Amino acid sequence: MNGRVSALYRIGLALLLIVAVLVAAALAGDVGVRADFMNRLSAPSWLHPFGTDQMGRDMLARSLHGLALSLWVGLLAASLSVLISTLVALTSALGERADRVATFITDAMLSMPHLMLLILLSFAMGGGTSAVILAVAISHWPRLARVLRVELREVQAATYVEASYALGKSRLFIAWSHILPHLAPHILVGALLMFPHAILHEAGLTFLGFGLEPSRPAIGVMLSDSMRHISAGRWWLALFPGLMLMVLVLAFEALGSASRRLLTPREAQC
Amino acid sequence: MLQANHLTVGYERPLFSEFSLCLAPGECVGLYGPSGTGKTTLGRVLSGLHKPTAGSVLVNAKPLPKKGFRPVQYLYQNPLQAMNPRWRIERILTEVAPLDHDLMQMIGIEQEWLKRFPHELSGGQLQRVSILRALAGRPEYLIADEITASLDPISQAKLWQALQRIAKQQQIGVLVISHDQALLSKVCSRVLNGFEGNSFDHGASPDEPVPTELTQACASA
Repeated sequence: MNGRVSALYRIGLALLLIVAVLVAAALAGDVGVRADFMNRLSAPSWLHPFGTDQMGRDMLARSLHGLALSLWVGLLAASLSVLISTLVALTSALGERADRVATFITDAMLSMPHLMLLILLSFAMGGGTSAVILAVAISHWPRLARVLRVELREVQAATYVEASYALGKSRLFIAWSHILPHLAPHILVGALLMFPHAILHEAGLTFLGFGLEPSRPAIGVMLSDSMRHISAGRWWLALFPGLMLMVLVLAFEALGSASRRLLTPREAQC
Repeated sequence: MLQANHLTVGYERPLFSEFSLCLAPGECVGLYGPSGTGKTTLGRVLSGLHKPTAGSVLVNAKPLPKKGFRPVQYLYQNPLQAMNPRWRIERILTEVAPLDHDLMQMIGIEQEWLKRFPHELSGGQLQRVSILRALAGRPEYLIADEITASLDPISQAKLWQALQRIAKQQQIGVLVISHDQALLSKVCSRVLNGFEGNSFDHGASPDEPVPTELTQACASA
């Protein structure tokens, strides 16, 4: 099995897992949201594989709802962030002065500790889902913008782009056939690798109390709630949602790195 | 006729000045000189990849076109860099025009290479691909900048034989840039030696036509 084929397998597996989470969450319906005080804080059993919480809600269904919510938050935050970084990187291509301005803004954003920025932004926007999405998007674009800017400059100066001009190709052809395909993998992989980051930050912010509303079945809310019960030996409240989050994040990491292998044929053989 | 008239070229300081050269269709001229004297830069200027500080480059008495296929094609020493690493050989070869199977056979490109990526071919194989890509657009002149410097003697001989045959058939003028004097004396009808006296044009100047015997000597080499 060569690098390309094994990368394809990993992509398939990761996608399957992500789709399974979404489908299972949809199938679970209001299980995991509805309280059932007869079954409060029961340990994992065949009926409730992940146990139940202080309101008798099934933790498996709750975790699935939480992951589905995280997926949406991650998708929106990562896409928004990638959009900003792509626009900033393209600004750099406009000219020397535009490049200096774009670089200054990027560096200024990078010089701030991003967790601080995240908390501040989310707090200033009053918390909730959209505040978390915007805060993650606004605080996470500079790193990718930097990568994209360098890649753009590199491909503009590439010998094969020069050769293509000499072979009589138009600017549009070169932008479309040489430059965009060079940037696209970086944009895609950037988005995929931003995804787990966004999900983790969403959970982190919510855990700290600056994120999603406590009424929503989010992983961060569950982890935050579990802190009050973990000293009483109710380990399942923290372990299973945390584990599920980790698996989802790893699936995205695998998706990102496998796509990179696939989109840069040279690396696929190493 | 490819003419270079009183070229002055340099980056911060001029590399050479008042350089003139004349290359006839079908003629094969060598350019020999020590490293760092501006051979490659001259090649790039002649093919329109680099602007001269002063002087002009003319093809059939007209300046090089800024758009469209350049009649003077530059062949890179390292063809791997001159090819999009994401494209398969077939797409690289057809960037300009559809595949010419006769030419492909003449230059020794095998059908099975077409499905591979550039990094999956050897240096000699890639150089053939690079030559065929340049030939596809029907160039009038080729600037071969150390194209066989990294190849073994047998591959070198095969590549030059093929290129000479095609150049003769299609009446393409070739400027061979190399540090290998033995190669130049074998392949070329005349060899310009270095930038001595600001001009290494020993054969013809823009004002006088290239002697026909030189053209023929190259063609039959």
